[in-house]
Amino acid sequence: MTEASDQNQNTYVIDDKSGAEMARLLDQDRLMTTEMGGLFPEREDLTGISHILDIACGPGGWTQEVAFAHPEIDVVGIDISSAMIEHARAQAKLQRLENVRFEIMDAKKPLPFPDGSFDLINARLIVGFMPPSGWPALMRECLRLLRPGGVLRLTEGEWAWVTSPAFERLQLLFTRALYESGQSFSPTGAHLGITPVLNRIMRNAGFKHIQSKAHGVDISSGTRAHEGYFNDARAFSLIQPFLQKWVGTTKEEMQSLHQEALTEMLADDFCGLWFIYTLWGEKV
Amino acid sequence: MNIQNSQTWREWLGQKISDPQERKRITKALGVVPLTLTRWVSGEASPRKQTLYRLLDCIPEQREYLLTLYQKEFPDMVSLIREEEMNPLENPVIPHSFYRRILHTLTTTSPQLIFHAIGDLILQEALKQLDPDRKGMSIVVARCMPAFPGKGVRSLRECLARGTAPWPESLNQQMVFLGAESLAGAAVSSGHIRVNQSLKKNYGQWPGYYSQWEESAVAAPILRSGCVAGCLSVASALPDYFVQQRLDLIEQYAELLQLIFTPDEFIEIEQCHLQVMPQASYQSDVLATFRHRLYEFMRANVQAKQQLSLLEIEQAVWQLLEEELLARPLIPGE
Repeated sequence: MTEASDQNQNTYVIDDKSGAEMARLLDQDRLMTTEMGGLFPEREDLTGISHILDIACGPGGWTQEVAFAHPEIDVVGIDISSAMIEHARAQAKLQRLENVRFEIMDAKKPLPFPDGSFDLINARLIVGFMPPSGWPALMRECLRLLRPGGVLRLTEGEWAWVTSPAFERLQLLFTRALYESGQSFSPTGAHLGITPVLNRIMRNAGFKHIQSKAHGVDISSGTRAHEGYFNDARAFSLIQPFLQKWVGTTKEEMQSLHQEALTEMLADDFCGLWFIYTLWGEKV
Repeated sequence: MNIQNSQTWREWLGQKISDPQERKRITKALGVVPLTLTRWVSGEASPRKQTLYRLLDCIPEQREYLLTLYQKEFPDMVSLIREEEMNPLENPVIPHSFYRRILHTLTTTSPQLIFHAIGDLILQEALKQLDPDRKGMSIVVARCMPAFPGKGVRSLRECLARGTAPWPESLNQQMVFLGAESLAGAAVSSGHIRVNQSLKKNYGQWPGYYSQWEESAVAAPILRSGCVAGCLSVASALPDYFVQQRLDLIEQYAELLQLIFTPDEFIEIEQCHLQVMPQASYQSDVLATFRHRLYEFMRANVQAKQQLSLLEIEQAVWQLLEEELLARPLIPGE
């Protein structure tokens, strides 16, 4: 989800204290859960799952939904952003959820939980803050935190393939900026490049019985997901400071390209396919 | 054995889940696996408080009986439930930390994102505080359409919405124009909160939309300096849901929502001359053209290298749609 920083560890690309980013993340979270087919689309049976860790939970959308739907499961959400965690805690309190807690923690560092604390560890869209060099250490940490038989579940995505030239240019600017900042798996900065390497990352860490499920979300005009994706794209202006820093995109350039992209996304013949990929593997 | 003669809640549950259909229903509603129910019945394990609450909601017809059984094992919890029935909200005010977060967000959010981003955060907070157990609620912000020269404000447009089941989580597809026929219209025209405690019993006291699941409803005007910009409408799937504590809270959220409107959106209440708008089903064909028209307007804007913002263009399209709907003859009964 998001990981940003209050001190000097900020590797997330958007200001984590922005309420607009918080609202965007909550929307994105709902959109993903809906389009993936639920909280645990790859498994119906949660027998044996009583402790879940959600890494980089952001404002805690998925975490709270799990806690509400499964009151007998203990869920912990962690994020480096105090603003996100404060929001998540307040929301959980309002809902009187007793089985969820949120902690400020940096997933790029060792996590202060005892060995074997969790039956399932979840992480969605952490590529926005986790550099390629950080993944092996995170995998080792997940392995330590899972009990034998526990499951790590990773969900990442790539930018959508779209028929909008302006939106494609915006996406390219973003992936290029990630590349320049050293946060990309792509050899050229042409895409995020995270999904093809996830299996290897998990396998190298020692996870077994790795399985995967791909979700192709149709975001074309007239589809259920179009509005949600369009609303997400509306908030694209939030990444302008990141683009300015790494690829020199000015506010004016961003504004013009953004407006053009939104226009093209509204066309009746706009087509797009968003690729989301979930992998899960076991600690044996 | 008659289930009503159970000695303990565990015995009662054992009887209940001996019916496979009931076991399946309760398992699903509580979000647990069947083995967990069996362990509760045998006394090997006990559910959390929030699960016990939810079990009560599973069997509304036996709620009182189950509470008497709970009393033996969880007397403190039953006292708390009784107290909550009298005063349903532990703390009927918006948390201070939320005000602080919203005010901080205002200082850093671009004007283009304020209405939707901050408005949505406020609605989500309100929904979680007003319906923490997700018993069914919709919460909607409607804003006044710009005043028409010589005719004032003629309608409201629903523009932000959230819901808990049976309403869908996102209500964007269901948002319509409202007028004098609506509870929101009554609140805006009067400048006061309007409540329909039981739409089935008191239908007609105030106008109401009376949607498929709506049993009770409230509308609170969004005011600043005595002028109005829109309305916060809340509907519940339960009758008589809006006790005074909840009404107070809704007014607080309506007050907070004034922050997402620009000063020029607040108009004198006397300038509100709301018309009767067509029924929702009679608006859908016009509303369905919104996206295409927005595209045409935006394309023209890009081609002409004009600097109108997306919000300004959207507003122009909505005004066009309002005009078309107002020109429609009303069907009998409206």
